[in-house]
Amino acid sequence: MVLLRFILLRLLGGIAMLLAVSALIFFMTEVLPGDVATRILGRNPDPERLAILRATLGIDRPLPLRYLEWISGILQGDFGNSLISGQPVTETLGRRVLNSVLLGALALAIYVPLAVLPAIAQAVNRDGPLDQAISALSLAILSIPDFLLATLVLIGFVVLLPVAPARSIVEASSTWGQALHAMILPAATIALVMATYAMRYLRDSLIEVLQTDYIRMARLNGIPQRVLIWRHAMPNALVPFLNVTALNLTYLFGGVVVIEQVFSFPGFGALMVGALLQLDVPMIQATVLIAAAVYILSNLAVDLATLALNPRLRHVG
Amino acid sequence: MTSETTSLLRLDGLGVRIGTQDIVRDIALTLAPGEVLGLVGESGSGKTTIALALLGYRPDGATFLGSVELDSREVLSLPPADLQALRGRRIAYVPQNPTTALNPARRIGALMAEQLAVHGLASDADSLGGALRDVGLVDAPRVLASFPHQLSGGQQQRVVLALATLCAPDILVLDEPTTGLDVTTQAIVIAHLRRLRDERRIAMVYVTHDLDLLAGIATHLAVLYAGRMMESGPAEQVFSAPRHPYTRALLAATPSLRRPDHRPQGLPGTLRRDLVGAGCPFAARCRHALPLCAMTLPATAEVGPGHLTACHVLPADPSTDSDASAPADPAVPGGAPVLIAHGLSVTYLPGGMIRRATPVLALSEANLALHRGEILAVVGESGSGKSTLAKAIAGMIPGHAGHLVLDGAPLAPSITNRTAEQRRKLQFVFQNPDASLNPRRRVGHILADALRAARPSLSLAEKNDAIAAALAEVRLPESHAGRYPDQLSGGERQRVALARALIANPEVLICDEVLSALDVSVQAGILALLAGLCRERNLAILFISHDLSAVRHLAHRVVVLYRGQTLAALSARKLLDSPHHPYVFQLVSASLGLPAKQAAAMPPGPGCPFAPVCPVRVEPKCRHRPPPWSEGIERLRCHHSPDDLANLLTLGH
Amino acid sequence: MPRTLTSVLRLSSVALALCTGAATAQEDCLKVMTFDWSATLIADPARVVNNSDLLHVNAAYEPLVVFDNNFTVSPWLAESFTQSKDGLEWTFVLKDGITFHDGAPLTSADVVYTYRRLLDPATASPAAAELGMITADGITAPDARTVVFRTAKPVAQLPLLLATKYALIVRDGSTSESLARQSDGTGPYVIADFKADAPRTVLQRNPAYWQKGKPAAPCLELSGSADPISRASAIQSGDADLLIAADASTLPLLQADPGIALLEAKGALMMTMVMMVDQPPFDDVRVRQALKLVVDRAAMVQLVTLGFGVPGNDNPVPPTSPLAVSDQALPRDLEKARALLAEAGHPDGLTVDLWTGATDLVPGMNVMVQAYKEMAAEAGITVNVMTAPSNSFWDDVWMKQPFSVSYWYTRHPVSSFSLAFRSDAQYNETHWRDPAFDALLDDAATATDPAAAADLYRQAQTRIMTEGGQIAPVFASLVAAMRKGCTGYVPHIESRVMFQDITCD
Repeated sequence: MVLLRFILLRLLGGIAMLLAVSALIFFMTEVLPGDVATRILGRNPDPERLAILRATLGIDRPLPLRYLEWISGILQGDFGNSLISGQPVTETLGRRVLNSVLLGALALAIYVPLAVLPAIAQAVNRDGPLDQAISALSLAILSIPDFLLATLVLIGFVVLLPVAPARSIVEASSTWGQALHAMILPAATIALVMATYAMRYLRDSLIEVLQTDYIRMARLNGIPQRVLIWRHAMPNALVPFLNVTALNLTYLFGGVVVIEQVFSFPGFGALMVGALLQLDVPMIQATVLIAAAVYILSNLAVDLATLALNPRLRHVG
Repeated sequence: MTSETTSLLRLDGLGVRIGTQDIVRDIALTLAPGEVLGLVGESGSGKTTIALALLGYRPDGATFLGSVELDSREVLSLPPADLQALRGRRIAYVPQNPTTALNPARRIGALMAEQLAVHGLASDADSLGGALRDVGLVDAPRVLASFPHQLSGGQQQRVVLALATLCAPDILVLDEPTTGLDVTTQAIVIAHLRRLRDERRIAMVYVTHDLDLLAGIATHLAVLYAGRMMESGPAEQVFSAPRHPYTRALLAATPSLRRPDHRPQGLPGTLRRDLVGAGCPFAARCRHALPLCAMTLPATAEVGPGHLTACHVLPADPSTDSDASAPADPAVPGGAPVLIAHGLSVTYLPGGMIRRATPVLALSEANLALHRGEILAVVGESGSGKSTLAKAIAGMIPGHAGHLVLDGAPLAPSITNRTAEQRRKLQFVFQNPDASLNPRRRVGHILADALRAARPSLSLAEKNDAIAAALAEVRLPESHAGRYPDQLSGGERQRVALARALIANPEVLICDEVLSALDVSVQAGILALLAGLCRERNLAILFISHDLSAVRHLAHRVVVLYRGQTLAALSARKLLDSPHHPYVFQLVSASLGLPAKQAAAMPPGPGCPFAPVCPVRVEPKCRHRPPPWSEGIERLRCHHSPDDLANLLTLGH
Repeated sequence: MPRTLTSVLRLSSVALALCTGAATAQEDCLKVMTFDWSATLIADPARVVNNSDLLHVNAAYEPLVVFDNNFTVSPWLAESFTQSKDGLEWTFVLKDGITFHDGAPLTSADVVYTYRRLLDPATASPAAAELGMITADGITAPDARTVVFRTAKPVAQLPLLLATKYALIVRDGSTSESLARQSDGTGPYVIADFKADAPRTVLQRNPAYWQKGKPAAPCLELSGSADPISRASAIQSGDADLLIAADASTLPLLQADPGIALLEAKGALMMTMVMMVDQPPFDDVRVRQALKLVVDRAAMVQLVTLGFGVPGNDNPVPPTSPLAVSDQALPRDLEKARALLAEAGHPDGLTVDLWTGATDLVPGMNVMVQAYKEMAAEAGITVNVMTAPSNSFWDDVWMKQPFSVSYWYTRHPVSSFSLAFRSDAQYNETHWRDPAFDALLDDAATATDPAAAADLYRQAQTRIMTEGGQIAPVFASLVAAMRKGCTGYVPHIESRVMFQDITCD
């Protein structure tokens, strides 16, 4: 019951934060030079036509009024229409969010074992040859910028070794098999980027945990190594790793735009960046709001996971 | 020791080496069912290393020498799978610090069930509950469902003990299992161990630095110094007729309520492994040492049936070692009190990540009056409020209720609101010198910092003199001023903490459990120091402690707290000679190792805080009405009259 | 946990095995990939913004007339077009038997509606600015097959201007909303169930297309990526048949691939260095001429465009155009350059600052600048290369510094000259004011005789070449990549695509 109250409070706080973010982004897009009308009509359009277009698009009305209209629209599930294509934002948004969620889920599924298993191997083999080899390799991959990594993966597994298609296209008509086939390369690249970053945190905290009294006690009680690592050490060592994973989750929803571009994946990041470049204001506002919501939710998820792993936090101190 | 045919455990020439240093050398022991071997030594003597080696546990980078045989199998070279099967099942370990030994992320029940499962034994709620009840944890379902942090220190230690005995091992290795426990809890644990020894014939290796404790349980003793065995043999023999100078010195340094007239004598110097040469490691501190001792290692000789000693000298007359003079029992100093506390109460609200605040009354209506030249002890178990009292007086609890008066002037609740002069007059020494001394500052600087705060008007020369004087006063060499805290032993660090307090020329010194973190042999020195300071400086000392034997030797008067309330205020001698108060009686019994008489627990009420568990309570009066104070110098709070109590409570020795 | 891990691994490998069996949708589609793609695609010809939009409308709609890479106009949906004697009217006769996707026949009403719609402010089409010379009332349809455009003054190049990319013929009565989901044009492919955010679009063949037997491919798959490697990988792995624009960075890679052919549209992009003729030292025509004479144009083509280009002759008309003064590159003459400089008062050479962007504004730009610096040095001219951040170059440097780089997509001279060289031109980079030149342009624009107009344009070119402030060493080609085995595609200078001719085996 206390837990429920905690979640509820956090969600309420999140909504309040989202409102603040919405206002912020709404008013910030107005400060950007140029507007979508000049984007549509070209660099030096006829002023009269510009005025007519602005009136049609409704961007010539006072700001607070437009903000209130927008908020009330959102509460009814309507994010407005794209100023460029005229299509409702929700349709596009929904599909792209779904795509990114799928990609993110696949990336996470690869990321977790990719980060956890080597970290365990390193912690157990501390300072030994395996530990150093993995450290060197992960550092090397970490140093490669993600667009370069994506390009290398693309060339390697599309041109040289035709394993997957060049364009990671996922459509409404795709079967699960096709979607998986299309997403495997970008998901693996993203997983690699995230895992090499997070691996070190887990390794370090695992080493620290393995030196605690309670692990020693478990050993002295005859607990075998495998149970020791997974049941005794991991729950305690996972917390820093979870914090890093929270950051990674938000990276998944916008930071991967470069990787999306290399693989031509129809993801959320590409949508957001495209909207920004074209000054498609309703799309910008909707995507930024979604990104903020993802950030808030992933933090909440990580906090809940931390509570699950660290029982001390649940109770009166 | 027993003959080879019936022994469970045999150590032969055991050594543990890290790098070029031998942590322990040439340890030879045997253990049979039903035997309790007390492994005694100071910090750094290697006793924990030996204890772990019995389970085949090797510290990082260490190599084993010699052999440890369990059931005629060599433990030190067992493959990991066999070692796992052995640990917890045939030989189990009970650690010193139960809080850090329990996985904070696992429930107790899960840990216990896993322990059984890993060794292929069936587990069900009944067997788990039974194991907990055996160690005195009555509310088994709650404990099984709890996480370690939801249990008290005493409960945690009992859980760890239950885990160790869960798979019915033949041998238990206990590493200081009662350090940090309340006296009453300690008594329960010792009683349980005795039952295990007698009823189940479990063999034990009991590692400790406290000889007094072993008197209640050990069948055999082995004394360690700097990783080598000094003396070993049947407990009775070693206690009554110790032959090795070190053993004698240890016995002399240990305070004991069983020998109330024996004043503990400190052992000079500290264990310095780097100074140990080729000869006997104790040579540097031994008052009987010959030049031969420092050059060659003494051979082990049999001085009685099963009684071995390694010493060149073997001084004959044991009685010359200890100064068995009765402790000074000065008259309680008179005059106006220098510190008065009246009606001190402290309430605090605990909180967690998910807030849930139920106020806790840590201290309730505490009164005391402290005179110059007097040592007043505040005694209680965990949760009694004694530390809270000390902190409130020291100004670390700004929100307390009640009045404080220092030297006639009122003392503000918060230290920031007190005058500099007041701060100087009232000094505090903490329990743990590791935490209270800045590890990055040299001793001299630490003292200089304190000096600057307390007596800023001194000139540089005067400051240096003051520092030197402070060090001398705590019997530390002047060279220590240039050292860092981690280069000193625990006892030396505590002396530095004392010096820091004394350098301000205080009138009142508050010592909060200053002996708890020290070895018993070192405590004696600090006790003597405090007694001396009180005399020489006419200092008023408020001595917070849970250790009755230390209090007996040091304090003039004692105040006894229980769950935040004061239950008795009497002279130290009276405390132990005739403890005519139900709770005090229980404390003293426990300190003597006698099991306490438990009453069936009842829920608490607004009356006497001890009533729920008091063996002589009277329903419903005791639980519902606060007990009155008795008249006279020795004041007790109880519904029974002092005469009644004298009849009801008798100490059986 | 290890147990769940292994079962997860097993499941995913099974899943992967399943999916490799499923092929990409419709293997026999013609797969065309362009250099951009957005989540807000536009299917209304009047409102196209990006090249991806253009690709869609080119597949479903068709223009009245088309023009080739030399801007020579020929009829398309029109059968013929003629100018009136007084030059004020152009009459277009439509072909017979052409139907829209909805089955209705193409009539003059559709043409009139299309152009009036482009002019209507409510449509907000950028075409309105380009079609300033016609008005809604000036478009009439005397009969079902004839459309007449009337202008206030004679416009010699009206058919070319009417072929603006937005002017694809839509069905009478179409609106932005109706065109957003379903195409209604005469083109070889049909847009149905359009999704503005789809990662790729598949168009089906128009079964009633007016050119019998075309298009060959039953369906057309359009996609795009801004990442050059992504496009190159796509065509190399067979995921694309045709790349509308292969990026300069991947040209060597694609050239080396035996299965890929590179196709050029020559003279597509003019890369220039422009001098303001009213600023010293460029105000002396001899200095300007000297600066032009140091250029080794053949070398420039190799260095800047890796051979995918043609030399430029310091004016906006590429030598490949029939309107060009000469199809040869101007020669390099260091001696003459030095002599001219000495005459102009710089006997010991000259030092000038040339401004460019920190990163290439177009591929090869900064190579051109460096090459020019070295070429000029041989005539005693010291060129200091000054860089400004690329994204603020156009606001802070261009048309503000006296000597900077620039580039122009090639247009018909009627547009390119008036945009940059008229005295009152909006983008008069060189600050050139020559009333005589302006008069030439006016005459050429209103001339009714094409040969006379061509001659006037040549005169204009010569003036710019000799006296103007523009150094244009090279025209970069638009390079497309196509799989060998495909035919029927000629890259267009303005990226228009004729899909019906493309076939792949």
